[in-house]
Amino acid sequence: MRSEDNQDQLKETNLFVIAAITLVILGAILYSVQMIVSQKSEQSQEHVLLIDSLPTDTSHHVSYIENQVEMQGHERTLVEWYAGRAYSGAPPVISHPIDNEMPIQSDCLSCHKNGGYTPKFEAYAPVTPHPELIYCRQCHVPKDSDTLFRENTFEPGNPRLTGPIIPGGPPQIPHSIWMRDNCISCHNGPSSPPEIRTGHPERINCRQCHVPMRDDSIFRRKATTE
Amino acid sequence: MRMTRREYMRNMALASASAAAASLVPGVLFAEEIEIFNQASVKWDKAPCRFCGVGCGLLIGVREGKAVAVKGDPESTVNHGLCCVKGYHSVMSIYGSDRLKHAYVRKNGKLEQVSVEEALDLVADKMKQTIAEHGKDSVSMYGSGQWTIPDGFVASKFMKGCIGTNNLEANARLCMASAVTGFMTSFGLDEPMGCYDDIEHSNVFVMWGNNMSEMHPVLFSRILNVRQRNPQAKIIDLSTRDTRTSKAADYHFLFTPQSDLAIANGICYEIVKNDWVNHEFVKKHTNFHSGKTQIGYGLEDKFAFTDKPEPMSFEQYKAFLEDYTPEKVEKISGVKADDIRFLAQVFADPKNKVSSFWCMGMNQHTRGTWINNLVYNIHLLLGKISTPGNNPFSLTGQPSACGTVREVGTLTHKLPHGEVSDPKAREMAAKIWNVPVERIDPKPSLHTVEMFRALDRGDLRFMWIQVTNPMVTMPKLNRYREATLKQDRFIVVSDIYQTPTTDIADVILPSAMWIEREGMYGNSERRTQHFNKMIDPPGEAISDTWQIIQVAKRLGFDKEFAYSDENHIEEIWAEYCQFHNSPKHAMAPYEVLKARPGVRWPFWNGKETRWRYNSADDPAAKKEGFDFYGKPEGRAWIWARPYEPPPENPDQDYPFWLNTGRVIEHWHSGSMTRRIPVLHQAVPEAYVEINPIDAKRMNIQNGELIEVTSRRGTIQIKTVINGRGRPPKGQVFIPFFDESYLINELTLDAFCPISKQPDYKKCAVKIIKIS
Amino acid sequence: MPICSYLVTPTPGSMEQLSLKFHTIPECEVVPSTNKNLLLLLTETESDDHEKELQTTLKGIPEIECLALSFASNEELPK
Repeated sequence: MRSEDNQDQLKETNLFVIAAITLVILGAILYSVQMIVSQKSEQSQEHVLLIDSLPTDTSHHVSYIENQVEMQGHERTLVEWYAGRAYSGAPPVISHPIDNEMPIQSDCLSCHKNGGYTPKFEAYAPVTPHPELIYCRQCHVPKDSDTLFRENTFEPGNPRLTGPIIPGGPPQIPHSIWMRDNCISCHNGPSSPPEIRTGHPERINCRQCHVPMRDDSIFRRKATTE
Repeated sequence: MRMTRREYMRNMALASASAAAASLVPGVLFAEEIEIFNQASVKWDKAPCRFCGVGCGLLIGVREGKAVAVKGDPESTVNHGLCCVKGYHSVMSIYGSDRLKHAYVRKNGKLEQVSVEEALDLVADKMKQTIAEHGKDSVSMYGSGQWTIPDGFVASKFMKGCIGTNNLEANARLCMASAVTGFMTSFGLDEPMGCYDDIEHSNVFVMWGNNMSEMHPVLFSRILNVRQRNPQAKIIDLSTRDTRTSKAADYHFLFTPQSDLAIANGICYEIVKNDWVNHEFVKKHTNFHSGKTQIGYGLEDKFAFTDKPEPMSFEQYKAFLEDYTPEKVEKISGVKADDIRFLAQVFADPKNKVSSFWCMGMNQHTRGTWINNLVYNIHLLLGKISTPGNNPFSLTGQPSACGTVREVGTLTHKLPHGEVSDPKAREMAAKIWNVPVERIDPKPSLHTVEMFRALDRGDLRFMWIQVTNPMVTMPKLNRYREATLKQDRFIVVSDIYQTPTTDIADVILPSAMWIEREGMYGNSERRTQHFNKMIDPPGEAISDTWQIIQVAKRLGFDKEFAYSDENHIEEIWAEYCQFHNSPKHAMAPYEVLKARPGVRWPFWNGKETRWRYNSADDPAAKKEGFDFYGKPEGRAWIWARPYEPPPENPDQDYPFWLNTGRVIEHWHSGSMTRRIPVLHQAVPEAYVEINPIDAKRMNIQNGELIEVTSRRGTIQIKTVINGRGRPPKGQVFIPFFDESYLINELTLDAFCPISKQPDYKKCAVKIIKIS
Repeated sequence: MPICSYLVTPTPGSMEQLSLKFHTIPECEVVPSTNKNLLLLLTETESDDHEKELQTTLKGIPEIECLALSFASNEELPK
């Protein structure tokens, strides 16, 4: 028993060491990436390649760690996030200049498919929740002017942040998930607003714990006797 | 959005504190309950989109009496839950801060606010007085393809059944009339045989002068989806300008304006020459006709034209096509002879299922009816029609151009069923409307352009305009604006915002828009869609339907308009359905419309119809295989229609073509979309697109102001070089949505003699650099 | 135009008094809890100097046991 315990402990220690080493290595890679990125300008093309060359399946972990060190100055608050769309569920406007107005898609997906840092705009590209829809300009339009033709009094129906019902419990999903069923495009990664960023991006099955709020009524059992 | 941002920040601050409190002190409750907005507090209800004729199903989120959000309706087979940028922001068009909430009457040149009751009294009095002084044909009504079906129905009953004048027109004359006459002359019945389901069955998509990616984006996305799944699928774009559609297409052929007539005939020439004709289909289901040629352009007042169809043999038709060998077509159109051969091959290849799509390019055309006929010819010769995936499809631009203007028939020659000239149609209308049959005038009167000309001449003294903005959209605008401002002309305008048209109004009535009232729209694929009243209209605004009912009652037609306040839409629908009670056009009952996201007519024995004239699907088709029952002999007509040049060509003085149209962000005259911040900020003003070579030659820089002048008017406008569209050398393009740049002051009021629809796509202009 | 929100814990027994005090300060808006010893405070000032002034005022209130900043924004906003 005892020796087994010891072995287990040893195993754990080993695992810990391996994990720590991995972290250090990852950290080093990240640090170098970050160093290169911070010296952007004419070498920017290469840096994009370097970031892209990281294995994609771990990219969300990487970007999560990356958040801790490199987010300052690039982070979007939830308020800024909402300022880019008319209401929760409306297609966000294109916040950056576009080189070519003619193609229906341009190169949107080269940045918005996997996200990551875009030196050209000094920002993290948000990830699209629907990369299969290729006609981007059907819904997303640029903002070329700050003027208004006439004032508009529309008030958006935006969800407000709600805490868990039970302390420590998972919060409900306060918005419609139609066309937004890829949670991590808004709730993880450096482009996501910190207010709604998940603390546990490694758990991929979001809807195991978070359920949409569809009705505000309360269950009442129907009377069974006349 | 900017106005609410501050409030929004405060809400965020409070929400953040309350969230922090909830996690730090579990179970904490606050005195003033902080309202937690979530999906559950929003009620969703279905409606067709307010804008184009695609007719996407939307779900509108309403909270506390206000529309707060939109999502695509996954149940709708039109859009399967996806909208375009206009649809997503459509509800914001309700909330422009300058919504018309009250009625206004012009007194001594100034608009003064009055009660709606008083304004309606004045409208009725003025109508009565004008009829007494100048006769019943001195009053008119000008409506819209944005009218709901009940709006159009009561307008027709009021004008044709009660007052007894055929002076009832709608702006769909400016957008869909050639499609109607095209259908009527080829098939004897209006509206497409196919439906949007064809898209998923087709593998070749031919765009005839149709920038579908911007004008019908949701359908274009469906086509792109098909191409993504099927590498054999091809998009072919035939256009007079390089657009986003051209960029997305597999093949793009630029042609000289008007030469689509030659191209369509050239394709038929190749089909016949190579004997790719489906002889069995052609023998059984078609016959051949020719009509008058050199038919004019309607530029003069009181222009009249009646076509004279003559039957012809297949051999005669073959001889007619000799003028359209690929080489000859190349000379007219600029499209290479080999490309014409290629197009014919693609159409004819038995492996291909071909859909043709078109909209304003073919309809706003001085030979609009002809080019519609010619595209049908291609599909008929090959028998590629009325079957899943093989169809010519005429798209529409307004949400109810089909449902209201075409089906209810709010055009001078039409009744809800049939035409005024047909005694049977008059009898039917008189019976259902419960009016004396003599009251319905058998003679069509004024079509839209002629209606405004009559106003100018003084034949017409009173016009009631609803849901449209002719002071932006009429061609040769200067003449018709001056007409409305003449002495003794009385103009009533029902709208939701101030527009250039309310600027010339003597009375303005505030309207309830879209989901502020109950109604139905009918889209391009024969789909009727019902929507509930979801929110209250602002101030004293009332629906266009109710405005007409109120004025009709004031003119003494209480008996005819005895609808109830609460259920009038349902009652009107039941009355209207009596007009179409046959397997050819039966409409779905009210309860069915309320329950489903649209139903395609004919709705017979509980089943909607997807492919008309096909005996497998159409309850009215009795013959084996196909039955083109719209024509007495049960056959579709193949027409010999020649190429004829446009009325005004670029010359030494005016060396450029002027083409006009739309952009994806704005819709119609922009009175709604420009009030939506997202859309306005994407395209804040109109511009002129010019070819980079022309620009270089004339030393014009991108963004530079230039002067564009036609024989009718002139504007100064900013240039865009290499924008989203690129006109070929010698052409400029200007969108028409911006009331600050009234491009229709430059356009020509020439029209198709058969459909009377003006051509907004070609006239001659010159360009001057302003130094 | 600074906008901030705080969680405020009043000194024992001074909940009501503190609520009233906040009501008298025009820059403050307060949401007291009904079941716990806790208040939500929302403040809004015109400028940085104005904000500093307000914070001095807040710091001088003896009924506050703990003042925790939850949200802060300093963005130019139209009124």
